[in-house]
Amino acid sequence: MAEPFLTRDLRIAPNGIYIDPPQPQVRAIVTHGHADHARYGHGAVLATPDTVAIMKARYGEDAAGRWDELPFGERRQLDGGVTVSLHPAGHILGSAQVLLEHKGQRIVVSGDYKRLDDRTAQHFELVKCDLLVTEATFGLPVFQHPRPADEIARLLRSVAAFPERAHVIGCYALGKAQRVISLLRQSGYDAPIYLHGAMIRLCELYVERGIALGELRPSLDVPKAELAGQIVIAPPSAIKDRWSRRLPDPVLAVASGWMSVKQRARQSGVELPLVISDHADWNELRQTITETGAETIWVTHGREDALVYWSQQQGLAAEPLRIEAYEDSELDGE
Amino acid sequence: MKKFAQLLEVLALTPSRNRKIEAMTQYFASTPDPDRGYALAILTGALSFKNVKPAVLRDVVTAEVDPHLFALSYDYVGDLGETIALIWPHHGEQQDLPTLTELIELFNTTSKSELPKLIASLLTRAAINERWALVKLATGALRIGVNARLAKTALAEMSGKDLQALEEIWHGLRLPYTELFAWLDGKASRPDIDHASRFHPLMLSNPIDEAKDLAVLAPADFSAEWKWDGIRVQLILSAGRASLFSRTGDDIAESFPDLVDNVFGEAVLDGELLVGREFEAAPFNDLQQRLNRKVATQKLLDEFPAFVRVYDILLTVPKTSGPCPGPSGDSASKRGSNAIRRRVWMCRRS
Repeated sequence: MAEPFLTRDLRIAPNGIYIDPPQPQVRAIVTHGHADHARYGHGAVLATPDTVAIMKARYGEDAAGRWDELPFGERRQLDGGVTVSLHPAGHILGSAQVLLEHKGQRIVVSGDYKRLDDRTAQHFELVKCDLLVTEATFGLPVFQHPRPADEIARLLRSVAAFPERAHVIGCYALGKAQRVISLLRQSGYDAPIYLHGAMIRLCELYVERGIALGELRPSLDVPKAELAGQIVIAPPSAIKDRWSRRLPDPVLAVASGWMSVKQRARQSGVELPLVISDHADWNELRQTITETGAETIWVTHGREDALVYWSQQQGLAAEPLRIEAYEDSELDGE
Repeated sequence: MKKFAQLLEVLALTPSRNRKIEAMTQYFASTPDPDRGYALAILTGALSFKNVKPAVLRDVVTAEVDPHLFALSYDYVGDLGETIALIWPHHGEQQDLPTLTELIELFNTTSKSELPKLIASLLTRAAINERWALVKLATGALRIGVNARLAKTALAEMSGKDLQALEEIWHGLRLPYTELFAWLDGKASRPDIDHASRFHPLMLSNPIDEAKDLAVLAPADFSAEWKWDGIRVQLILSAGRASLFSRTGDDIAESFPDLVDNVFGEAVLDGELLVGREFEAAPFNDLQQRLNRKVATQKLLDEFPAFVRVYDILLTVPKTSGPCPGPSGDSASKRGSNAIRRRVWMCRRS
């Protein structure tokens, strides 16, 4: 392959635009609204309308000098002879893969992605390319996510078994919380779901943007007894905090791909680990690498080594990108 | 197996002692024999397999997974059993696994050469949590925060029987504990076991509240003993066998062949296990070299010989109870007491 027109810190060489830059830049393309990808203070941000709405909700209208909404599938000419289009990544609402085309070369920056069905995110679209920059959050063969419906069934079994206790589920406030609520609704659970204060704003935003979540109630000021047998959604940091003492004998659950390692769940005091992930697992990562037809693979954001090794075994040119600040800042809830 | 896998998961993840007990109680009350007996053996660490070892499982997995990827994964997960359960790459249509009893039978009867195939097929058939339980079962390393005593406590709670009455007979019981469960269910009387296998719960030392207790304790009722820096044990001799129980009722005789092979007779002795020569107690650190080892090396036996400092004789049987298996010409009682003298130190009561 010709020398790629993207540098290893994800800067588009012909026009200087960065993708998901960790530091404020003049112009940035943002794949999705999670804090390790979407930062405050860029001169201009190009992203999907959902991602722009999420960034405005989290950081304020003035988080970027200029907002540039680009709907999925529309091609936009940028300077330097580069064409950009955004394609669903299936990670959270509005999450996108970035396809860049320049002189016949196609580069896809995947952002975070998953390929499973999720009513709270646009379904992943496979994009053929020459160079794939893939995430590797769960880039080890021990990560084989179970079916989310099975995990929700485990949760509901536990709710039925302990009618006198509340179930508090630690979820990242953007994406995971809404996904878990939506999965509960899909499985037929129609009781009100209670929300920690930190969850309310983003749940409202999802509902405004057309994602049905059923009846949600703030957990604040609800009498303790009323929460027996109920499900409460809270940030992972809150479930072991003083906050959870207002719940009746809570069962501590966390919904995250990291919960597959039981010994870890146990050490962190999680009684009900729910392996529900918004990232591709090992099998999906490999499937995606193969199906994009890319001959060059750059691996970032996670456990790069195993995926680089596997790609090389397949005869692909693969290397890790060590991008600073792409740390596991949202590890607990992904 | 599904039910047992669920139990193991609850036990591993529930931090509350009471909830662990509750989960075990429910399991034992609702599971038929002999499955529940085998489950009890697994939870109390009383079950091990001759051929199914962690190394066999590792071989089965590394035949299917790239060794470098396995190493990276193991490094991340940090637990061999969990790594194997999570990394297994084949997922068949989930069929019901064999029952616990059938599984143990399979593990015990399958030849070494056929084992890898059996384990591979079981791993493929199992659902994720069952695979985790299966590996725990096969490697014997549960790490779920349950010890034998907690399991026995659950049995006592389930049946309303006294925990002490249960602990007394525990070491005389045999797999799959059918007689025990019959007693616990109220369908039979307590199993009668050889007294040599019977653990007699120890009278432990308690601090004295000087303000309250001294006035009501009569010195004539007590004898004094130094606080020796060893571990409290109960040495039980019967019918040519010796058991050495720790204060929690674990039989540690296997780790102290130098002691148990050199004593015999008919008695239940309460005392302190120490190491040293000529009954000179060495520091606890020396004794520690001998503790928690399945097998004692000759070097350790030579360096730190063990003996028991006896506090009390809880039970003796008159010499007429039968001939001692000593060589002819040597009277039974003489040989017996000589043998005992080599390793057991008794103080004279004055």
